[in-house]
Amino acid sequence: MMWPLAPMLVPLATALLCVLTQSTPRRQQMISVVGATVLLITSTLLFLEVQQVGALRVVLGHWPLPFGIEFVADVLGTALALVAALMLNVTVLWQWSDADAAPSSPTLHPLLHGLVAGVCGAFMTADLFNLYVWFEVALMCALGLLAHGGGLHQLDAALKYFVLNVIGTMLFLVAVALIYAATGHLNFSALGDAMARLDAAVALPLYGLLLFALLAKAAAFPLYAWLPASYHTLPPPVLALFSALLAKVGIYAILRLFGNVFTPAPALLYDALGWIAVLSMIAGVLGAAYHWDMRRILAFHSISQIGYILLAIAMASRTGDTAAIFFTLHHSLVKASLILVAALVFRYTGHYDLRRCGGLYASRPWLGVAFLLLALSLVGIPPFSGFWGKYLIVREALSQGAYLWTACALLVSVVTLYSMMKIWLEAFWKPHPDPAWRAPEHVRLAPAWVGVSGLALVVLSIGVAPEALIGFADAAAGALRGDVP
Amino acid sequence: MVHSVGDQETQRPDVLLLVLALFPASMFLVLLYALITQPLPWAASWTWVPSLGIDLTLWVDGLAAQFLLLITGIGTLVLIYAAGYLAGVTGRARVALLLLLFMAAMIGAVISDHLIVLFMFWELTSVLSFLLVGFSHEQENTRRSAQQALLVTGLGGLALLAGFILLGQIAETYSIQDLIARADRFVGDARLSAALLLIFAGAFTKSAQFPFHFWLPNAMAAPTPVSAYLHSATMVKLGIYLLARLDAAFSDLLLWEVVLVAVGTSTAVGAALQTMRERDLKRILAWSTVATLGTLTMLVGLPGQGAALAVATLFFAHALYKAPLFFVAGNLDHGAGTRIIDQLTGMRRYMPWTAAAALLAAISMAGLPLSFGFIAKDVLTIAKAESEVFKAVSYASVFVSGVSVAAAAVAAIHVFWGRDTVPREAHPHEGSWPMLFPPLLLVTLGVLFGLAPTLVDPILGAAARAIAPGLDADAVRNAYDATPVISATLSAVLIGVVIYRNWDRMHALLERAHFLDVLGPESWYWRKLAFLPKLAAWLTRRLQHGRLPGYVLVLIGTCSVVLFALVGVTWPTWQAVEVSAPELPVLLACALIAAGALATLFVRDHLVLLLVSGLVGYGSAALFLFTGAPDLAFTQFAVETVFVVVAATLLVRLRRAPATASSALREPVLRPVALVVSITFAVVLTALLLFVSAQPFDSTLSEYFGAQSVPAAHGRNVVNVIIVDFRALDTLGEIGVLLFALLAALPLLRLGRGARSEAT
Repeated sequence: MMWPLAPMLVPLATALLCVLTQSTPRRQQMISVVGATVLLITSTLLFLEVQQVGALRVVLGHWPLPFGIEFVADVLGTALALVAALMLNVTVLWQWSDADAAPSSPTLHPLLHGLVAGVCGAFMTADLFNLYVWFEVALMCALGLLAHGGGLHQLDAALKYFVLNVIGTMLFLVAVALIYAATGHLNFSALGDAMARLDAAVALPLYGLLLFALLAKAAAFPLYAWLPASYHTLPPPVLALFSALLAKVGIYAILRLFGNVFTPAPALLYDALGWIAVLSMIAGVLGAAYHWDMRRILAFHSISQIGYILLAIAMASRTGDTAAIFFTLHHSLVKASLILVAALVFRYTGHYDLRRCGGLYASRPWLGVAFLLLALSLVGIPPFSGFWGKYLIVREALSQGAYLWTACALLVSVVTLYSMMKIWLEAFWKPHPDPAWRAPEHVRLAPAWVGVSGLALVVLSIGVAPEALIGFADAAAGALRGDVP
Repeated sequence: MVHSVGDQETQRPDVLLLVLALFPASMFLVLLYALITQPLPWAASWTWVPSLGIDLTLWVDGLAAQFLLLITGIGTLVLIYAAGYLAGVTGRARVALLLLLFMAAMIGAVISDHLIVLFMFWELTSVLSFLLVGFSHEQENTRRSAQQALLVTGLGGLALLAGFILLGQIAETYSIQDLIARADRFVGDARLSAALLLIFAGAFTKSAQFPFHFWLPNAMAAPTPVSAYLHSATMVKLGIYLLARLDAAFSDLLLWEVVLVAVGTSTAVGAALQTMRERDLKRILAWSTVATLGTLTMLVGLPGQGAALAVATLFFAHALYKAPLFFVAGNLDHGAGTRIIDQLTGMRRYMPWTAAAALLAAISMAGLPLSFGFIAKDVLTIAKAESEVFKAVSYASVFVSGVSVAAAAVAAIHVFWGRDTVPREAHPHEGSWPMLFPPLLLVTLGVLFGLAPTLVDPILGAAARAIAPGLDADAVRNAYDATPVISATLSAVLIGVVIYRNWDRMHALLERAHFLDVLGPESWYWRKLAFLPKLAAWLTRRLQHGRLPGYVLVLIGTCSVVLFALVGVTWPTWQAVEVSAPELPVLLACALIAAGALATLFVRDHLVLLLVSGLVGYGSAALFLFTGAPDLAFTQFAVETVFVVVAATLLVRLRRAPATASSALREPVLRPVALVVSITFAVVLTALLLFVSAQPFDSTLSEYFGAQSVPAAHGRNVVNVIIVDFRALDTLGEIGVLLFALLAALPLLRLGRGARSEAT
């Protein structure tokens, strides 16, 4: 009965236990690993269960609706929770390797689990104010993780992240308050009905403010400054977790609220969203083309890829939602894996700056294979996973006659290819600028390699057998739009 | 250049590559057997991605079969050749593996009937070509060439994707055969021209047609086996293959004919001119390949059945003579250490077998009688006569053939005959048997098919029928008897001899013709490629400048604009709303909040700042007091007091440590833009707040909470019951927030403590 709460409760409890065992790092790490594994198992079970029997619902305290807080585990929410659990496991696993890991400190593990708890709570809740609460949990943990290194540039990044995100969260709170004032409801299904009954002129500014706040969370143009300002200061395993989850919560909320709860929202919003999406793509990919630090390149790519997802949502159709869901899941995995590959590049060559690394194609060909596979997935070269998302988006945009958006999406993917090629040419093909350089031989990287190759295999299998994920995304989109078969 | 001259140690052929060559060889034989025993076409289908309607549909007709024979046959020879050419070179296994993958991708591309599946293999060939061109990736030049090839073909590939999707939506099918079958139903669609132009862009980039042709000669940075296979025999013909595939559906369209003939002809002429500007044998061959590809494009565009036969025949003939010539260039590079024609004369003495192969291939390339090239020229002449092309196209074609004759003469006569006058450190040497067998086999086949064209007639006829359904089956044999070819060959040979005799003079003349560089699309490509980082830098420095106040300004400013616009759009509705004036105590509370907020702007001392910001909290508490929530007000008073006291204590303790990064707070600056933005923001948000709260409120929730608080939740204080029962989950989350905030602050506090212990 309480199953839908599990993806939120398990990491929250683990975080608490990790706090209690602060003084014994070994025990804390054990608890962290066990907690992450339990989360992975429960969210997998929940995912499979929901696939079979449909959405599970629970109202806290058994209050009748719409008075209590409702948690709904539907296909979309559980899939995202599963990705979150998977990424948490990879991150925790990575801490055991010699690769560029996060400096260990007693607060690291509680904050990691807390972040996942907040994110999973957001994926499961069916209550607008409760969604805000989980945003806040995720925000606090992210802040803690950013400040965790304690270096000056980390504090600078944390400050920027915090200020911009607090403003975004406050705007979200104002929007929630205004919507409550206008409708008297917070539960999603009650809200959907109430907003539909509301005078369109009253509803429009409320929708606008809500969407704006969520776009700030999702790092869309021109509100994305917090993402590239902060991501590159993170240790790679945490960065992988961030890029898989943080902006995705905003994306998820947009998809949930404007693809499900408030449908049909005014067409003006979707048009605006489309243009914002296109501008995000362009600004993001140009940022990536400009930078030489792999972490910055990948961070900017996230903005561009978020643009693709928003464009899919702006299509406001079942296929569009399918594309958005597919792209979100695919991107979480691919981007996180690329970051981990970048961390390995750093471990072997000693630099994140492309101008100062090289020589890996000759000395570490398998790393090259992994990078190539993931980079081609990100660019969307068939038959790698990203292609299917791109194909769905382009097909839908063309069938809706959005030619300009299509052209932008395709051109942006050429620049994406250009910037991924830059990493390949510099880090892999170019000889290492230091002639005396040799790749380090005896380092413990097995856990890191398990993480990277596991994710790469998942990405590869999505590419060659996309039916499972596309079929799933289609079912999830159908469930969102309420036309369940 | 892969080898140093006289590197005899590496002459032993590589066994691994020879073994790998067995794969394509056995495929070739199986294919040949199947072609003889099973009638074409072969079709089969498997579902792949049903929710997108993408099936793996296999369709092998004459055109596909011809390509399959070339892919597997030449693929075998290329691997054998590589076993000699790359013997002892590091990375040869990687090249062989990539070549086999490439072969698989090519096979996939020509047997797929589904447009999207075809596109998938198409893109794979581009990526694999990138990896193969970058073989000597330590060199900057090679990396740039590989990058250029992938960017140009990748750009075309995306146009192709859009074109395919558009075509699929117009035709309501993604199957090529269905599309051809129902072509007459949708040729009137207005979107078709756009779809075709996009598909042209894809095909032209792949097949190196003007204005996208420039990447191909640069791709000669690849090792010779790769150039012979990808950039002459197979991959670059994929674009022509696609056009020929779709020809049956669109050959009647004016757009189809005009674009293909114009682009094909100008590519051929331009490439012929460029051929004469080169001194590197491999680049000469590359340009002449581009010229042939142009001719093929032109032929696909020509209406009439003869053209279809000409396409099939020229495909075949080109593979039979161009691949051996590339092998010859590789042997020269390997044996003599250079590919520059000025340093290569009289090589016949050192490399007799290579010379023989070069001569026979050159005869075919020049289209002289008794070679298969002659048959191709013959069919081509008939095709042009049949379709009454413009005079300009005819003249261009003769010129291109002439240059082709001259280039063939350079490769065979200039290089191998005459006297070796160039001083050398070591004698050039002949290649090992794997480097001789492939070219000799291919040129022998060329002579054989030239003498007995009936041997290849079935396959060429089947291919031509796949391009133009309803074609006469005996066309090749009939063509062989025709007479106009004699005059065409004679004029081409005449022009060729003149060009060959004056090659150096022409070269000197054209070398100075720098306008060809400046006007050429390649300089345009480099300008664009240089422009991209500049644009990226400009934009990124402006948007991501690293200053927090600027980011906040954008965030708040955009929000104000959006809200202003939305409230503006809905303004007529709002005007009708009656907003009641607040009571005096409420106004006073608001004034307290505003005073506190304003004061924070002007205070510099941290401690005072903290106290002043406490005013905001006290103001809100006062507000709660006067709006009917006294218990909340008391809580707020208590929280605010405790907060200020605790924070002040902390500040005082931290203050003993030397100040860290807080200097930014010291200088309050008046920013006019920020002032305007914040006032707008405040005004718009307040207006929205007033208007929305003036709407009738649905109080179902609060009434329920009030009614159920005692009977169901057993609590008299409704607010408390809401917090711990009705909405307990919110409270759980908020407790989490508190915990994590504390954890987040820990490193900061430690930092302060650390600094202090350092100070003392």
